[in-house]
Amino acid sequence: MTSILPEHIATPPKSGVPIDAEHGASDGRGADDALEQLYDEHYVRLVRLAVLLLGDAGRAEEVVQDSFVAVYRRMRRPGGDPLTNAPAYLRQTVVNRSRSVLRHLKVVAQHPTEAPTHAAGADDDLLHGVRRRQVIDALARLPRRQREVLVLRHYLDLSEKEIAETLRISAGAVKSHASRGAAALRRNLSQLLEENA
Amino acid sequence: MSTPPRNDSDLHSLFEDAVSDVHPEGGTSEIRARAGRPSASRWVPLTVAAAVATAVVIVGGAWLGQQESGNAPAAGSGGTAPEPSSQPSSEARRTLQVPVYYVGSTAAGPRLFAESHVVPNTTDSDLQVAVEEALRGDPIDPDYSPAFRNETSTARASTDGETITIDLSDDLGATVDMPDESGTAGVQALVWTAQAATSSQQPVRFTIDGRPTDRVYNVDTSAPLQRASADSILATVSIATPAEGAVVPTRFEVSGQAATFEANVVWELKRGDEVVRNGFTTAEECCTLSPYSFTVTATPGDYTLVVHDTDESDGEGIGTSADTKRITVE
Repeated sequence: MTSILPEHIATPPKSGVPIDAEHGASDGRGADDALEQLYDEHYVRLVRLAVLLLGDAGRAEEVVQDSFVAVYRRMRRPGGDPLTNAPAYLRQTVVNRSRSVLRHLKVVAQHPTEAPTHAAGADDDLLHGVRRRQVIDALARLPRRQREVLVLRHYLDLSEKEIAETLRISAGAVKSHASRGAAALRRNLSQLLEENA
Repeated sequence: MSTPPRNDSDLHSLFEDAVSDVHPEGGTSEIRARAGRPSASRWVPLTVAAAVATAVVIVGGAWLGQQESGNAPAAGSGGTAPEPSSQPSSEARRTLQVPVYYVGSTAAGPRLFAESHVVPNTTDSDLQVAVEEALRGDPIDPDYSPAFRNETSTARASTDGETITIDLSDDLGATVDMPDESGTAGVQALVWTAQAATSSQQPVRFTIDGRPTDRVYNVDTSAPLQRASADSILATVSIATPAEGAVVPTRFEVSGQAATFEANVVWELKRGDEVVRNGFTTAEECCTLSPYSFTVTATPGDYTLVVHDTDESDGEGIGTSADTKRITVE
């Protein structure tokens, strides 16, 4: 099974529920089991990934839930996808959808009659703490690609190759975005990093 | 899976800490319940909102040149590769690269943009994979939408060598009140995708759950459909190279296709909101999709490249259409 997470972080899989071709589609029970396992292993971490990408816990969970709904529909569709690569598919879907949300927020923000770009209130309670907010704000100021590469690299601990596949860019571009992004983030967060050291 | 370099482990801790207090609330029962409901009603307003709101949008188009010159696009050229971790199966699993047309908003209304998608580990035909991606896939560019934004609908695509048949599941249109031109663009996205995947211009017959249908959205499908002309349905400005996310040298060439007033093509290289280089060129022909290219010199850094047409309306008209690519100069 392909795991979205490195071994030292992933929750040990439940026994006997591989996410593979046997658990596609026409077998509704299999799709349910596969969903449970995917949820246990990846849901929380993907929501947190989306928070790093979006800076908003409410929207982050919405994006991840949408992605799980899409995967689940695929898995239980008669004759549908076996989704042997469900974790990679989920990861990619979460990144793409986060991007769409940001893009949409930008469009909405250009129209004064619409909602503000960030939903204030309950969601912000989840992101309390000045230090935490600093990190998320610093990420938000990076160019989109750098932000995506950095969190895939340093939060999900993906390899360059996996990041290249997820974002559909070249390994060279991954390398370049990673080094530029890390340098910019370090500049913005130098004080915080020194305190942590 | 590689481990990050030691000197970046502080970033890992920083990110871990930043989101350690995020505790999602939804569970699998909610996911299962939502999977039973159509999602189109939720997404379509976003697409429509974007269509009316934007003056400058859009991307894509690597396939346009090949498509227009009549060559087989991605289906053949992308080729297949063995999947290293292929599952035991009676049919060989392949990784396919397919051309997919998505819908994006332009000053002229919804238009089609091409993307190349890699679909791993499939036993389906190029045609089936491409149509499925067009209907339900995730566009690489966030400015694009799949044909109908309805994840509950499915499609089976096949061909007898003379006519392509796309059989849609009947939940496709039931819940969606789609503007006419978006319906046309959605149907044409499937037609263009299917023809590109088969390297053919076979007409496309639409059926719903195996039965003939007179309409798909607002489009008359009582007879097999030919694709609409490129000038009427494809984006009027597109960048073929460099690709989104590309790393390019300090002197690089930009190429693409445009159908613009007096063949004018205008470009800017931006860092953030600041324009650091700009210029203009002309496409080979006026007013129909034709190739353009120009060379840009820039110092290393991250940029957004914008190519667009000119606004001839004196502020009264529909504005300009653009294509954008985020690139890195090294």
